[in-house]
Amino acid sequence: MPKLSFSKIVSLLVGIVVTIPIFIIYTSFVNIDYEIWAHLRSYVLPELIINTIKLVFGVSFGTLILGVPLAYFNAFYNYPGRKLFSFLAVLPMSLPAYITAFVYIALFDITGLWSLGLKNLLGLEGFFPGIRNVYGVSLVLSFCFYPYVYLMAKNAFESQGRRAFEVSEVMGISKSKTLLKIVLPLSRPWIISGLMLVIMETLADFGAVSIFNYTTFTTAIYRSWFGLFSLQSAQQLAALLVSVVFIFMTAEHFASSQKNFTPVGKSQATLRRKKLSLIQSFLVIMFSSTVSLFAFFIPLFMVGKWALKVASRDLDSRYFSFVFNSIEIAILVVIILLILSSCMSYAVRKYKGAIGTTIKHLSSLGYAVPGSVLAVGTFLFLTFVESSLKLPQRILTSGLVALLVGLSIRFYSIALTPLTASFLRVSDSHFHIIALSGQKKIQGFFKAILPMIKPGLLTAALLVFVEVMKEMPMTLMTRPFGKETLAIRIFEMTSEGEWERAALPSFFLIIVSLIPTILLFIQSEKSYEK
Amino acid sequence: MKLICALIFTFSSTLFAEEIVIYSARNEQLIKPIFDLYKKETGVEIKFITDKEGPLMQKLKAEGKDTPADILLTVDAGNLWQAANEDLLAPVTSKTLTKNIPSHLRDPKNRWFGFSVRARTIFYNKDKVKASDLSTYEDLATEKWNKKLCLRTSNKVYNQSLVAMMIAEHGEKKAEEIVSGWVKNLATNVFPDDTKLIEAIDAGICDVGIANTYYYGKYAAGKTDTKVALFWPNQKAKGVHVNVSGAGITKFAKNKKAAILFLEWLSSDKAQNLFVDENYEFPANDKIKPSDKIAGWGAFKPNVINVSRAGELQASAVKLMDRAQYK
Repeated sequence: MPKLSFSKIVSLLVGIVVTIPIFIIYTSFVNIDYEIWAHLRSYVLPELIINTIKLVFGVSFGTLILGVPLAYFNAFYNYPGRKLFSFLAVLPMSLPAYITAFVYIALFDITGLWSLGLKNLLGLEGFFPGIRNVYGVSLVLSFCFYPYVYLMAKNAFESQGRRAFEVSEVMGISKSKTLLKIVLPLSRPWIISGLMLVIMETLADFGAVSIFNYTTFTTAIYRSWFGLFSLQSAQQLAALLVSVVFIFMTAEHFASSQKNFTPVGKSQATLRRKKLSLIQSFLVIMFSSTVSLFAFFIPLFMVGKWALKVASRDLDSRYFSFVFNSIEIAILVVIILLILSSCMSYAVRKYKGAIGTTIKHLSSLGYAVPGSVLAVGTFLFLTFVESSLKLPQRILTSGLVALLVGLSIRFYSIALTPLTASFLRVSDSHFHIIALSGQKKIQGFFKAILPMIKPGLLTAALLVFVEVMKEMPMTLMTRPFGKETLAIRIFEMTSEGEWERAALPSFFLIIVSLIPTILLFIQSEKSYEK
Repeated sequence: MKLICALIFTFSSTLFAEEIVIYSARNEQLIKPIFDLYKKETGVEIKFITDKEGPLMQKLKAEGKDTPADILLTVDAGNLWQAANEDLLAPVTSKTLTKNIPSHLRDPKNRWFGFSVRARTIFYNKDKVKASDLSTYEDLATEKWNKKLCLRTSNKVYNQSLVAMMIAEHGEKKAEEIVSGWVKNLATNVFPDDTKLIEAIDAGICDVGIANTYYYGKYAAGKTDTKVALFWPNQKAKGVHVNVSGAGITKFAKNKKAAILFLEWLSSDKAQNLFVDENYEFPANDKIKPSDKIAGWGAFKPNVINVSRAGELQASAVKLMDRAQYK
């Protein structure tokens, strides 16, 4: 029986609290509406399941093909403008997927500005086929989500991959062989965990896929709830979705847990990037700038253009408070999640038993649950606590508490993923050294461990910040009166299809999200140059 | 001591009476001007929170008797019916409301009232179709519209209500035939929203389509050269499909009286035009003339079947659309 340390108790508690709203979703199975299920089974699910699988494959392929090469070039090589391009590569994260989706439909679908313009220019008969299909939606979601894979892969490459290259160079192994046989397999847990986030976000997405009118499993969840008035069936569907994700996670965990991923050798920070030749540099620059153009600059340009158009009508002094509230909530959630997920990943790192791992996996499932379903689960949980503990009226649900709890549950895995990954780099010997040096545990943590997990902490902070900024369903349901944010503003405009008016708050949202992105970039460059 | 208590009590109750709390699925920019005007006229402050109707109803349910909400304001009769069905709304006896709001636009048990009317009608491309070619929603299922029809997704409650009303009128079997006919006639995949559908008609991708009037109002407002025109169907039959955005008093409302006063005011001529104008809707109070903005679309005969039927039959409509492969 391992000794129960403070971090273990905290992480156990956190794990339980975070898991309860997900558990509430499972309680919906006490009552099954067989008629609805029979209907779903014969008319709805077969197609949607196939659609969802196609989309998950499409987006996984897309994010890997964009994220891994970008991470590879920026981590291992030097070329003119590398710093700029490695910065540009993370920017699409600040764009909400539904905004990028709308821009793409507005430009490239059959009635799109670009499609109609080109048709008139060339004097064509007929119309372009449009992009409301699996290819279009996969492409756009890949543009939106590849930064997760990019960040995790770059992290992995920078912290150990380059050493592997040096070692194999000495041993005379070819570059491509090193990449395929050593670097990629060694970085697998990082890349997979980035991909896991992508998959969860894809599964939970409703905004972007509905703009493309692409029906997925999540469509069935909302259709059962809003159309068939059966929240219960919706929760049951969500529970199934979450179970599948859980099985995937566990399988991946067992596949990779047998291996050791601590770095080869030490002080990897001293390694130098290799210079690319002129032609190679040119190709890399072309690739990077094409990705940035489509994933960031085109959407940003359109959002900016529409925002200018509606600014005279909609821009007022309230925007100060929208911006302030968005930042305030995001920062609070970042602080909460960094503390909680550090505890969890520290505890789980040392404690490799099945319970710890299961709790860790269960607690990160919030990200795979469609937003509104999780929001209802969270709200029910909080009102249940209020009434069963006989707390003063609405003490949890009327203030900021509900919002912070809800968002923390939703984005727990976003913070946990990079942190767990960076704790993989901390080997047992680090802890032995601390123990031997006679320092206090906490002192040793700050001196020795913190610098090692710093990249993970920064990545987690950035991811959580931009995700909270963009989040809608939980913020809508649990915000206190008057706590309006930029995302809420976007919701107000888009709920009746006024997309161009939504561009104004979106523009502010993107600009605000750029701040932590820039800070993260400066920090990571610094820690690298050291 | 008793006196002080009584004083505090009356003071606090008047204090509370000065404030109503509204949960609203109608967006902020459409309700804020109304609330501001109400405050100016009566001094009553309105606190509100917006969200989608599904989550708002769950919120009301979870809060139970502790809910701060006095009024649930939402779009589409289907949602209002559902709120009443889940026992979230209280019946209201108000002569003003029953006088101002026609009976087909409110709950038969007076648990909710429609305050604005939106018509879901046919739009067509003037270059490709003559108005005389058009007649009914049902006609759009016939072969002459093969590859010429555009529809919005069946996920949207507006289409679910439309089909529910067709079930009410024709029965399920015939309604399913009509919907299958529509699906066969589609010119392209269904659209995510009405605006995109109207754009497609304008571009000539399809000849005809079904959309809510206010999307057309907003679309046409910025344009001088649109080829899209509006047609009122079913004028020789039951009439144009209409729906409402409306409100009801919550079951556990703390300021029931003040809330009813607000709804009565909302149905009056003072408030009706402001409530509907910004969104190009029609006043629910039929004694009030629509503003010039929408009067230009011409008068039409609405279908006066009670809109609550849309809620009752919504689940059947959704299943029907699934069977008919209407995505």
